[in-house]
Amino acid sequence: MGLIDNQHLPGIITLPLRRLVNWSRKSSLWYLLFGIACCAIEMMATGASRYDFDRFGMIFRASPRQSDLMIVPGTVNEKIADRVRLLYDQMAEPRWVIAMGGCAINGGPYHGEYNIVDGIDKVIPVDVYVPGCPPRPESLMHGVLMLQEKIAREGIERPLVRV
Amino acid sequence: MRDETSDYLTQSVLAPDLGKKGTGDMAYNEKESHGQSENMNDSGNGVHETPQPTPTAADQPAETQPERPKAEPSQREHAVSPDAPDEVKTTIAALVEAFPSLKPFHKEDDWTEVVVPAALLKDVARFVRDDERLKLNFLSSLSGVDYRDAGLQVVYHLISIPAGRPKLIMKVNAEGGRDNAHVPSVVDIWPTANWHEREAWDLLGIRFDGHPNLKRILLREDWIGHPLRKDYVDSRPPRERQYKETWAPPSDRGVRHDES
Repeated sequence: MGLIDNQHLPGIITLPLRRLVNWSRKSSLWYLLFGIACCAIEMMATGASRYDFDRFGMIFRASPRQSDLMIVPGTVNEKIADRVRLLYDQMAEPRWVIAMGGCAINGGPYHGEYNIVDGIDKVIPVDVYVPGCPPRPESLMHGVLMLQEKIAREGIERPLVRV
Repeated sequence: MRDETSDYLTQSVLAPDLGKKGTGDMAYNEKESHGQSENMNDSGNGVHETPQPTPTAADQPAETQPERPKAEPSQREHAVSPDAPDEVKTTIAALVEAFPSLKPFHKEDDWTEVVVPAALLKDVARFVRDDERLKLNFLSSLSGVDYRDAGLQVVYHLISIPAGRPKLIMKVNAEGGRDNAHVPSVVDIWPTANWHEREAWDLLGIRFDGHPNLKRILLREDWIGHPLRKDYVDSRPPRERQYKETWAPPSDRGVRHDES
């Protein structure tokens, strides 16, 4: 991104279109209103006024068709795994997924139990893993910032982090 | 010599045709009187005795079970200590009056416990709900228990809302062995049993005869087996980790709109 200040016309910014698209995408991540277990409480706290997801341009959408980001907050069991996959399939591309908490990463305290899917990445591809049980809102926000960095690089360089 | 299974047997009388050990009514009564005498002697906490680690359940027949002092017949009839709460005495009196074959005893606090044969379950349940002294109209919980070789059991916790204190634990041993364990349904007596019985069927495989809609409630409907059974083996195939299309190897990478 370059700023040619006052050389030709005032206030003109030149940049590759790719960067402009990525910037607009990462600055308005609308996430799916979707809670499975106790991590959803922390996700709600992160979205509320004290931590305020709105300042990242993130507001929740109740429809997967209007969402860019799916935060999977909680334990995924066999029965809900199909529903998560269905919601993910309904989201329009480009779409991203954050696995929030130990359960969504690999089953967490329920790893290997009956009826538990050991990690949401066995069902849908995951972009960012946020550990914790449950993660504090600061952790989730850090995960979102990492996702924003990742989105900013899309199509410009190969992803440095292969997840 | 005691082991876990003998604990189960003495504490919760099992129907004779269920376990390998029970051979007839004699064993049934003998075990039951054991349970009572034990509950009279140490206030109903037979389970807390330390199990002996060595022998397994299979190599110890029921007839050679612990030689503890048997209750005198007079004691057996009044299987409640004088300092038990009045509610317990009332409950025991009402139960014994209506069903002389039952042997309720004081469990702890104001809980009364009784083991009910599956054939009598519906009658006893309707009685304890409608009786003026008991009015046990609230089925607090219905749970299933797996005692391995000794069979499956259903435990009913009953509380009286109008009468306040009386509380009753009913234990029913499922009939039909492990493969076809079944117990009469009490949905028509306490409607809240509906989902509880579906849960017991789902996780432990106890069929409830007369249930209006006995199907899985927690697990998906194509689930195989009943996972809370002690001998359950998880046979699910492993799942593969999912990747985004853009991160597949370059040879078969799909065209993506933001990849130039």
